[in-house]
Amino acid sequence: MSRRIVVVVAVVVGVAIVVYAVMYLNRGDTSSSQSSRTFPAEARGVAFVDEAVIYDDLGRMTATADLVVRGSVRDATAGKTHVYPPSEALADETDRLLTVQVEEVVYSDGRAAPKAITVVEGWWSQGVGYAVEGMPWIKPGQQAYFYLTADPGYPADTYTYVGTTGRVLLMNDRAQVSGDHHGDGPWDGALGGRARASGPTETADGRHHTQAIEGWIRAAAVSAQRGESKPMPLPRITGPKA
Amino acid sequence: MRAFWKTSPRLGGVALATVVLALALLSIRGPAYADNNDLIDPDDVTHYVDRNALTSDGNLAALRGIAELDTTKMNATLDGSGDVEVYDASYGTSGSWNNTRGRATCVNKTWTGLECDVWEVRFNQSYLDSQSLANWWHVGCHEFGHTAGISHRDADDDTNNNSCMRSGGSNYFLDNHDVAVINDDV
Repeated sequence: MSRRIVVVVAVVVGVAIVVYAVMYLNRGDTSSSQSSRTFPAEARGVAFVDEAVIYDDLGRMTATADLVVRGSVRDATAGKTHVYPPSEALADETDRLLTVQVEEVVYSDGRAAPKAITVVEGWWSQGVGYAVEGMPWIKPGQQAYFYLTADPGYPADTYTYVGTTGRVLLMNDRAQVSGDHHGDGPWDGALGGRARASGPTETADGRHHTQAIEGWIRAAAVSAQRGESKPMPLPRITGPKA
Repeated sequence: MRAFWKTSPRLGGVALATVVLALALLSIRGPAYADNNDLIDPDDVTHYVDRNALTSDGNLAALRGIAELDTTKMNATLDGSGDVEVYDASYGTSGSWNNTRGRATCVNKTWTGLECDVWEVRFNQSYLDSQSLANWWHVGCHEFGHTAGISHRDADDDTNNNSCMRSGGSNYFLDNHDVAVINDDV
């Protein structure tokens, strides 16, 4: 076999490996056959929502929450699996449950300060993890502020986010807020029904300075505790909540 | 043995180009967030829509979404199936359904992962059953807008409040900006 043929074969094999690697890394997300209890490490699926309540004021989002805490995620486990009627031909969906060690209760509606809580964040279906509005799944060991409402589908001390804007992920001197809001969300400068010129400003990477946003969070909590920021009116729910 | 790119520069060039192309494909996976053109795009301009045992209001919401996409270069049609599966039910307020009136989920991406082959649209009757038909229409327009690859509008970029891509509203039309973004995208 000539050296030239060896080289050609090597190049073809190399190209095949590269093409396979590209296809593997960009592969479709619904081919997994993992069980509903086995969940992926991250959310690669995408979901977008229309929300019943839109928060454009951090004070009002705080006042609407049952509980606002700063905490660290200890672990993530499988929660309830939602099974839909066969007539709907929908795949099962399993909630992702976070155990959060509470480090500070920033705001509460009067309930006792818990040491640990459970938070429903995201779900997976057919082995694919889903996050809403691009909110990446928080991982064990990471720290965040959580804006929460009691979850009617679980026992006490289990919560879910008040909305898609209800999480601030802390990353040393930077903080990443969740949700799709461009200029009029709760993290954009209104507090207690008034726009404040000194609101937290985004850095070039789309994040915030942690110190600045923590100041904003505490100011909103004080405003809510004093009753200056009013809760948002919640829509009427029909049928079972869970 | 000498390096093959020295003995055969052409083969070396092919290999290098392949690697560069692969890296380029990998690098364009994340969307930019400068406008509401920042979602995963549909894999083609035709949306074959399936209505799965919808209520009358759910059916009207789906038809509203179809009608709005048909004002763009998209062709949303009931004459076929397999691109957009539409459902409605009382999904409750637990977990990810809290505060959610409607949801569009890409349940099957193309092999590249860059486009969506199959969308699932769901209307949550737990919220919508107590609301007016305009709200159903809004959610239909909104979720079908997501299936065409557009994201939310907000007060600062929809000052006249005439886009159904404002979350939580009751407007049920795509505005000229939304239509232009979709047309530019597909």
